This record gives sequence, C-alpha cells and structure tokens, in this order.
Amino acid sequence: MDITSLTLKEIKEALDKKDISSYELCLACLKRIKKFNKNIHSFITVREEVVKEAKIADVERKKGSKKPLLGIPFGIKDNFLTKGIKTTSASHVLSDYIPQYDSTVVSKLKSAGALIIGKTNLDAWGHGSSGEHTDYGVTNNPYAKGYVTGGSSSGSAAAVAADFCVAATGSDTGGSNRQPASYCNIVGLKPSYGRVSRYGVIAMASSTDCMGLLTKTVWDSAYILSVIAGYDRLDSTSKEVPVPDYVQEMNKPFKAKIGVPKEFFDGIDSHVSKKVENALSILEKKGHKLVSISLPYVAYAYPIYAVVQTSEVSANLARFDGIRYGNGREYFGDEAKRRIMIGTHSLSSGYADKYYKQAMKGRTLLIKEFEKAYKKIDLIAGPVYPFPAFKHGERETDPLKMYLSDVLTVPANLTGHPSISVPIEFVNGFPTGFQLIAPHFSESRMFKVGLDIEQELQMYKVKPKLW
Amino acid sequence: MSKLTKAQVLHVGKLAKLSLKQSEVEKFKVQLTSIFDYVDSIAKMKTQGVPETNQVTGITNRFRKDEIIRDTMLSQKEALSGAKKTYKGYFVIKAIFDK
Amino acid sequence: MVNEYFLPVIGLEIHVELSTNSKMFCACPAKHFGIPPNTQTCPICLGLPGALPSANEKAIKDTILIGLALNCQIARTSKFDRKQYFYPDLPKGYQISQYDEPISVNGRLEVKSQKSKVKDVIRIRRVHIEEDTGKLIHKKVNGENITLVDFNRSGVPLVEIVTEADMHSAQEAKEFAQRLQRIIRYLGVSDCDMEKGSMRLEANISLTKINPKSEIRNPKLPNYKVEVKNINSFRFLERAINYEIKRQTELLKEEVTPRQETRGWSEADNATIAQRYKETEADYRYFPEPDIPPMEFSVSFINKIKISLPELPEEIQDRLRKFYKLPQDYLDVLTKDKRTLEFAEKALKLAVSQKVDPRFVASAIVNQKADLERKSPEKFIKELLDKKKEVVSDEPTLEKWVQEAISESSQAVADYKSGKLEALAPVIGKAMQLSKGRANPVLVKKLLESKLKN
Repeated sequence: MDITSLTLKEIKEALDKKDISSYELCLACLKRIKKFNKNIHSFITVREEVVKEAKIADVERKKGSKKPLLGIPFGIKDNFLTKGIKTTSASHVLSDYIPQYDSTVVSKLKSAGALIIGKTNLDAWGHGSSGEHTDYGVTNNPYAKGYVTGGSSSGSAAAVAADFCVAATGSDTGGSNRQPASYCNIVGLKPSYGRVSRYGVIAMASSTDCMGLLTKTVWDSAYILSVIAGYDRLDSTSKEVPVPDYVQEMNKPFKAKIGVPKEFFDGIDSHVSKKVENALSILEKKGHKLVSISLPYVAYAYPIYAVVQTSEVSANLARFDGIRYGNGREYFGDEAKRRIMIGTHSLSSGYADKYYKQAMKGRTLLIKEFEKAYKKIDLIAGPVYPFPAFKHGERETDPLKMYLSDVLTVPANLTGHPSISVPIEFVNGFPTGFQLIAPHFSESRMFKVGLDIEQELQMYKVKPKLW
Repeated sequence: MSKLTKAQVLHVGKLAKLSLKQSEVEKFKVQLTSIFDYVDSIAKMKTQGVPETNQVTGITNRFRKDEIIRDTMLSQKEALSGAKKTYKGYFVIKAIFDK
Repeated sequence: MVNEYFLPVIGLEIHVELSTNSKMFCACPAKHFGIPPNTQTCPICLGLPGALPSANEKAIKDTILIGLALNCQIARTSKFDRKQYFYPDLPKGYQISQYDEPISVNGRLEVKSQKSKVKDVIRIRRVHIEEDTGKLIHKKVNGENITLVDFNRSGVPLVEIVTEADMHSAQEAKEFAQRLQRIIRYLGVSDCDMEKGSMRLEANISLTKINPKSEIRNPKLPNYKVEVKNINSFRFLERAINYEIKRQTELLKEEVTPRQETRGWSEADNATIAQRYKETEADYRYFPEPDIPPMEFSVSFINKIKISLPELPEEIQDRLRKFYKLPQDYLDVLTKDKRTLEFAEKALKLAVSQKVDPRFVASAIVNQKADLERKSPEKFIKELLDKKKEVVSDEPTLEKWVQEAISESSQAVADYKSGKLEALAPVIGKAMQLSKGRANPVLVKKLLESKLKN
C-alpha cells in the first residue's frame, strides 16, 4: 500500500488502528519528494527534520494524545510565516528571511500536532493565477507536464496532488486556492472572510485575503477547517462566530436550491461548461434544485477587484524596504512592480475618485446583488476557470490576458463569501474544478453539496503519473 | 481611453519607491495603459449615492484593552535578526539628514 | 509699527504622546524614554510581514477626553486611514492615522492676547489619534556618517491637535500652547513634556495685509503658509515665530510673497532655516484602513467619558481666585500640575480653618520649592506658623538679604528683566535662604519687584 496516496481520513484511521506510523508516513512522503519534486517544483524549502518530529508524534500517540492532526505532514504555502523556517513569499526580496514568529494558522496546526514537511511554492506575493511568477522555479502540473498548476497556491496544490504531503495551506485573495485546486484535481477551499485568522500571513489585499486549504477530499477540508478556524485577538477582522464541527454538519441531510448565474457561462470554453453542466445534472439527480439566476454586476467584478486589490497591495508591500529584513525593493519582480504601480496610480491624487472610490462603490453594488440572490437560493455554482489548463508561457506575455483567468473567482473575494473548488471530470485530459459559493459562514452547505459530487465522480481516485 | 504617459509611469514609480530603469518604463507604460483601459469600464457603474465598502465583516468597535502583553514581544536579538546591518542594538542605514 | 499693515496669522499643530500602558496598535509598553534600543518591539510595531494592528481602547477614549476638554464635537462614526509615505522610521511604509473621519472636530480654547487684554477664541480644527514613528539618530562611526534606527517609539499613541490660524502673535501662540499643555496634564493622559518629546509643536506662520482700523476677527488668509518645525520649547516657539514675522515682513515690504515651504528652527543660528525644498506636496494616498473595523460612538459612550472630565485649570483658577483672593501669578504656579494643586487646596483649606491668611500660605508654597511630596499640608502649615513667629519684616534687614540675593543671581535677574516673570522665584528663594528662612516672603517679593523695576 502506498501510504502517501491516502487521504487524511484514511490516514487517521490507519494511524488509530496502528497500521501505519507517522514516521513511516513522513519518510515515505520525503522519499517521494526527493524522487519527483525536482520536476514539479512544489517546494521552496523541504524539512528533513520532519522525520524526527514524526517519531516524537508517534510516542505522543502511544501515550494517548488525541490531538486531531498528530503527526500529519503538511505543506505550508511560503507566504505563511513559520518561526525559524525560511519564508520567502517566492520572491528574491525575502530570499534569506527567517521569521521571528509563527502565523496563527501555523500555530493552530502545530498545537493540533501537525508537522511541517516543507514550504510550498507560489506566485510571488500571491500575485498570479498560474504559478509562473515565482523566483524559485515554476511549478509543473503533476497531471500535465509543461502546463501550469494554476495559482497562486501553485506549490500547495501540486504537492497535495502529487501526494508529497497530506494537505497544505493556501491563501485565496482572488481565487488562489480554488484555481490551482481546479487544475490539479484536488479540493481548494476559500473560507468566509473573517473565518480564519490572517495574522502572520504576508498580506496581499487585506480586505479579500482568506486563509484556506488544499486537500485531497472534501472530508479532509472540512476536518482541518474546524482546526484552523476561529476568532483571533491578533486579527481585528476575524469574526467571533463559533466554529462548528464541520464534518458533523457536512453529514447532515440537506437539499439545496443552487443558483446558476448565466453570467458565469459568458465566454467560457465550451468543453469546460459541458463538464460543469454534467456536474449540475448530478446534483439535480441527488435531489438538489437548480435555479437560473442573473448577477449582472459579475461583469464588473474583475475591474473592481483589479483596483481594490492592487491598491491594498501597493500599501502592503511598502514595508519591504530592506532595513529590518529582506533585500531592497529593486528585487521585486515585474508582476509585483506592475501591481504596486496600478494600485499606487489608483490611489493617487487626481485619480483616487475615478478608480479607488468608484471601485469601492461598485463593490457595494456587487455585494447587494449577491445578498439579494441568497434570499432565494442556498448556494451559487459555476466553473472555476473560463478555460482549461494552459501551457507555461502561454498567457504570461500579456498581463491582462492572465488577469482574466480570475473573473469567476474574484466575486467571492469581493463579497467575502466562502467558496470551494471540487474536482469534476477532466477536460481533454486536464483536471477541472467546479465552484460553489455560499452565504457568509455557511461553509457546511458547500461541503455537503461538494461531497455529493465527490461521491458520484470519485475524481480523488485519479492519480497523476509523475515523472 | 486613459493613455498613461511616460511621465506618469515615472511619477508612480517614484511614489512607490520602485526606482524604475529607463528600459522598463516603456514596457510598463504599454502594459499599464492596457490594464487601465480595461479597468475604465467601472465608470459605467451607476454609483451615485452608493456608499463605499472597504470591509465586508460588518464588525465595528473592535478594541483592545490597554495592557502590556510580553508573550508577543520580541527580544532585541530577535528584532534585529533579519537586518543586514546593525550597530549596538540599532538598525543601520545610510546617513540621511532632513525630514 | 510695521505690523499695523501686516497681521501675523498663526496656526499650531501639536502632537501629544499618550501615557497609556501599551502602544496604539499592539501590546508593547508605550513608555520608551531611556529604554535600550529595539527592546520594546513586536511584529506589529516593527512592521514585520504578516503582522496586523489592533486598536487600543484607552487611547481612543483619551482622545475623546481631550476633544471634550477642548470643547469639540465628538464624531458619532470614526475610522482609521493609511497615510502612505516612505521614511526609515516608518516601518510599514504607511502610518495608521485618521483622515476624513477624525474623532473630534470644531473645538475652541480661549487665550489672553497681551495686546488687547481681551480673550481671543482660538478654534481647534480637529483632534485625532495616530501612531508614532521610530526614532532616527545620526552618528559618525569609523569616519562614516550613518543613521541609526530605534523602533521602541514606533506605534506609541499620538494625538494630533490642529488649530485654525487664529493666533496673531508669538506671545499668544505661546500662551495657547501652555494652556493646552496644562489642560492635557490635568486630564492625566500625557505628561506632555517638550523636553521628553511627549509634546511636539509645529507652527504655520504667514502675514496678511489688513487695514489697521478694521476688525481683526477672521481676516482673509494669505495665499502662502510657512511651516516651522523642530521647535523644542515654548521659548523657541516664541523666538521662531518672531523671527518668521520679521523675515516675512521684510519680504512682503519688497512686494515679494514668501515661498510656501517648511523651515526648521535652528538654535545655533537663532533663526529658521529653509529645509530641502520639495516641488510637489506629498501625495499620501489616504485610504480607509482595511485591518481595523470602523468605530461608532454612541451618545451614552461619549457621555460616560464626559462625566469623567475632571475640573480643568481655568475653572479651578476661577474658583481659587474668587474664594481665596489669590493673584494670577500665584494661581498659575499652584495649578501648574495636579500634585501641586492637590497640596495647595488642602493647605489653603487648613489655613482658613486656622485663621491664617491664605495668601501667606499660597506665597509660601510658590516660593519654597518645598518638598511637597514628603511634607503633608498639615506639617507645612505648622512649620509656617512656627516660622512666622520669628519672621523678620523690618526693611533694612530685608534690604541686606535682597541685595545679596540680587548680586548672587545675575542670570535669574537678567531673565526676569527680559520678561521671564517666573525667574523671580529663585531670587526670592535665594533671599529666603540667606535669611535662613526667617524673612517675610511677601515683603521680600515686593522689595525685589520694586528694586528690579528698571
């Protein structure tokens, strides 16, 4: 049995039954990383110490510890600060930065017994939808050599898809968890804004950044969310909403009214929409109701996001001046420079009303539209990407072309609603994801409906052939 | 159509402390113009009298009690640990004179 | 004579460091005076990647308190904004401040203008809260000029108070600043000490041409404004303003409009010096702080703070003046801080109950830089009465002591003669010392005042 291919649920069962040990699991993962990662580039830093830590975890388990993630190897996206472990945000600006503290999510995972097997690759600073904007080697899609993984949580998605680790953290500001999950045949979760603490994750767009997960299955996602979610006194935007047992909630019977916005299918690759429609039929057969809806403001979501996100980015990257840590600003790559400039221009004197203020007002209108829709439906569904995975370099030369990958995912970031990408049938041999968006703090609905798709299609059984 | 000029790109680069190389300015000018061209569509939104949203949580009055918490503080060593240049407990930069 | 045509129009911008326990957006200690560098920081105030701010409730309440003491309107909704600029002492590359929804606006404070002896109303445009920056120290190490940065002060709560340009003389500006300092010290929210840097002043000075016969109230503002920084004391405030008035007058007489710029007061040159000239005004690109939820102040919340407003110095002085018939200069000293006032109130009450002249007691408190901390008011009065029995009041003897005191206090005498009225106190003290405490202090003061009148 190749234990690295097991899901978190299966691993926990095996560990409980003493069929395997954390030590064996971590050793096997490391072996796999050593063999295949040089072609996948999913890790910027790999920690061999994890094996020693796994041994300690096994001893703890023997003594009766019930920590929920004891001895489970995680990939941590390299924009999450990890105390004592190099954190680069995939940029040369932080090539030698060793954080002095842990992000809250990492703290929580550690308290739950999780182990860090490595820091995963990303589009530097979260700036990207393909995984190509990294200074540490572009991540390869484990299912399709030479094709992008999607971004920005590219390394996390690839690592989970390639069974290098059991699960990984990701940050989703405009689709960065859902997109790579979609291209890598795994589950990508963006919780509600304010559900999971942002403290200690390098800020991209403060008002849309959501910390989430890349996992093999929906159960895995729900289980780990229960561990990392919750109010944090260090994050003034984290909400004091109690954290339910998401797995328990997920297993409660629930038949949803699923809104399908026609705008989500405008200009979408026909093969992609076919697979999405198949998934919708499955849900109908399972007893959910499909409702046609219209969300006209979705057409403005991307330009609104472009202004809001880059404006906040321009301020959030101002602290990188090389004085207290890292290298000077001349080490920023082109993509970062571009976004900083767009944001700076959008906020500058004479332009702030036209861009920043107008975008903020538009955001209000978009939110109103979604809230109105949720009065009649329980969930919104659609594709994740407008097109299947593309070749490295295909979209990179035209920044705008690249940005338009995000049009379907950014609405949920602007509204703060939770969203998930669940694998559906491949399109011409490329993994494809199905997107669900729920009202605030209604993650359980997405898990429930996502589970229905997963149980029917069982895409988690389709493993990549690594090289 | 908002065509950005070279001067505007340089100005924005200066505001953002990016020290753009002359060779880059033209490239960025073209890319930024194309992006703002697309973004300009937001002008079509009917936003008269619409309030701005800059936070989606709806939280207000999130305050912290005025007490010292030492757990999250850094030692001098930790504070300085990331810097390339330090001197007797201080961060060091090239001399600057006026504010 | 020249000022008949050019009226100085002066506004002040004051920054006050609050004496809260913790910093504005993190739980590090706020007291940083004399602490080794970079020993009171955390990810938040050091601007480390990923750190997020959380707002200090007391600092916000203190700001509201200051606003109330200055007769301001307190906002019902308020928020923080990011003010963006690059400087090595600003770790995040932006300062969390307040832009268009400050905590308080539209206040006023009265000051006496020396010229008119009438009270002038100085309008307060706004009072808001923000965070302080780190400190820069310039040094030469191994022959090389470097700048050192200490972030202990980074993040300390800073209240910014901006006045309208309603002051018309250096003396008026000084009095305003001193009044403001006293009020803030009374509120107990800051030690407001210019030497320690917990009170900082900047002045805007310009001159406007007026018809000498017309009303001074709300003159038309001129089309330029000179900002003066690096003012470290009330004395320098007066000097800097007077220097500027002179400098600008000379330019305007030549029909030259003074350049709109920022200048720094130089003690060494006894002048304001132009700082590096910036062609364009800084573009701070303010936008609402996304990491801190907005604030809503209910009427009951504001009222609770209003109730906690202590009696302020002016009200106290009015009360003491009426009740004990004390002269103004005594009142100023007795109310200079809470501790002195508490002592004085107790002592004055005792004086009345023991049928001792309160003015005698007040004078004794003022002239003896007595260790009021260690002596109780009861003990103080007792010792006074004991001494009174042996008080020397005959003029020739007093003359001797007074003359000696004058010759031994040449600096104080010079200061007093140049207008620094408080410089008389040490001379009185010297005379008292020479008399081994037996001289009648009231008579000593009278004698000194008449002798130094020229």
